[in-house]
Amino acid sequence: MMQSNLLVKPPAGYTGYVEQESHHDADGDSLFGFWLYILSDCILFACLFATYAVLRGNFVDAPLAADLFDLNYIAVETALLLFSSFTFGMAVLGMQAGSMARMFRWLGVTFLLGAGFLFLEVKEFIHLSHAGATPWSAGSWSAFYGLIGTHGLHVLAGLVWMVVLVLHFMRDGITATNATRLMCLSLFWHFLDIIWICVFSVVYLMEML
Amino acid sequence: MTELTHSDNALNDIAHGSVRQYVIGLLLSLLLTAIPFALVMYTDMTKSLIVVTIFATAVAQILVQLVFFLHMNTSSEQWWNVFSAAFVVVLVAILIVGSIWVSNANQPLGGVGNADGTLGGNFELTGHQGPVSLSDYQGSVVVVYFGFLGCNNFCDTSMLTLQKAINRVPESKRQQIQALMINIDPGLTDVQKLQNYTQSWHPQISGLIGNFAEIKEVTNRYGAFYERTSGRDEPADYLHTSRFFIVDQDGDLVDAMRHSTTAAELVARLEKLLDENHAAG
Repeated sequence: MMQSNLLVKPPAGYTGYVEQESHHDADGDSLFGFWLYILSDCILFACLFATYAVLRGNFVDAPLAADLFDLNYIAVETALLLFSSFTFGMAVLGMQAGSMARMFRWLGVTFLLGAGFLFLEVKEFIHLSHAGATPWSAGSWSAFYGLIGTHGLHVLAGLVWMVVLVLHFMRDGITATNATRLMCLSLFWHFLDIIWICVFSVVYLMEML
Repeated sequence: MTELTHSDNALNDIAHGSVRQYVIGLLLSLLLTAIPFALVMYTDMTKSLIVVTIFATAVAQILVQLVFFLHMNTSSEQWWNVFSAAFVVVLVAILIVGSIWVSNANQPLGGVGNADGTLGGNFELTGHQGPVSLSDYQGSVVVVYFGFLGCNNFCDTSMLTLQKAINRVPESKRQQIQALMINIDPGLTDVQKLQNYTQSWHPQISGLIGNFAEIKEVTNRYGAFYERTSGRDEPADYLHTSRFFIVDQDGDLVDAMRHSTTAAELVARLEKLLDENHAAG
């Protein structure tokens, strides 16, 4: 099914990659493997969403989510993540055009947007905790922090990965291996955006109805 | 390099995105995000319509991102990607729908209580003089008991305990106590029969009846279980929770005392509530 040609790999520092664009798929298997990882991550999130769906009404004496959520705030968070998905795409295009500078610029913007998102999320957690909604205050809040926190940790992992990848590119340039790595991270980043769509729809918007 | 062949795997196609594709993807995503946010924040459309819109725009946006950001398509090269994704979609659906279904299923230990996870609360049923709701007894300590007429063991024992307990409360406070026996058999429609039964134990015990849905709701709210054990043509017989549900003067459920509670224990609990309220008043 999948004939790979992993043995054929451009040497380090090889930059003629773009001219050979139709041949860059030697690492297709790595991408497919990473795709399977993403799908398994989907199942992890599905479990967290299911937990949230079951526990969402259980507030006991803790403050109600509808009293604490601020949709304007969530809209800003969402916008940051949405734009970061776009800027990551621009970074990928930069790499394909063979321009490290262009790629780094867009990755920088992506990193800032992602970090901004994470900053707002942590700030929201602190705000909620001060209002009495802590992970241990009620079942629904446990499920909330479990779900949103796991997404946040993924974003953090993506940011760290971005830094590591930039170091790789600075050392080796646009090689086939690095290109594959960037495509994997691109998949990961877009995936986090998709998970966030489910989060704001199921958690924030539904809770405010 | 000429030996390189295309692998069947087609995520490599991800590399063939264009600025135009990303811009279109971004604009569509922004639009599909703005719509549900605006509906929730600025309109008072009917709830069900908003829910449908939220889910429709979410699914649409996920598809937009898959196509414009992840460049998925239905070409044969992407067969494995799409196939594995479809498999996961099925798994996820089973997981989420299954979890919600199981947690909502009507089991003795699941789906009990009010929407916020608490037990107890107001109810409206029918007494011998017409509609009766728990709030009619605001200011009194109410003992709620679930049983049925013709129950020869548990209900009688509980009625006896109630009778003894109420009689042991000092006369000055006795009037602030009300006991209610809620009939769990929807087949009983003559409330007077039930009233005669409860009155035979104590004048301060009243009988209440309800239809199937009403009984279902009140037992669910109080976390009481019941199940008919006799056939359709046989006399009603039920397996049911036999507890004294203690409701304070504000209508809040404060205790569910077990069947084996003694009259002395029940009196102590009732007097404590009566005194607490007195002290507060």
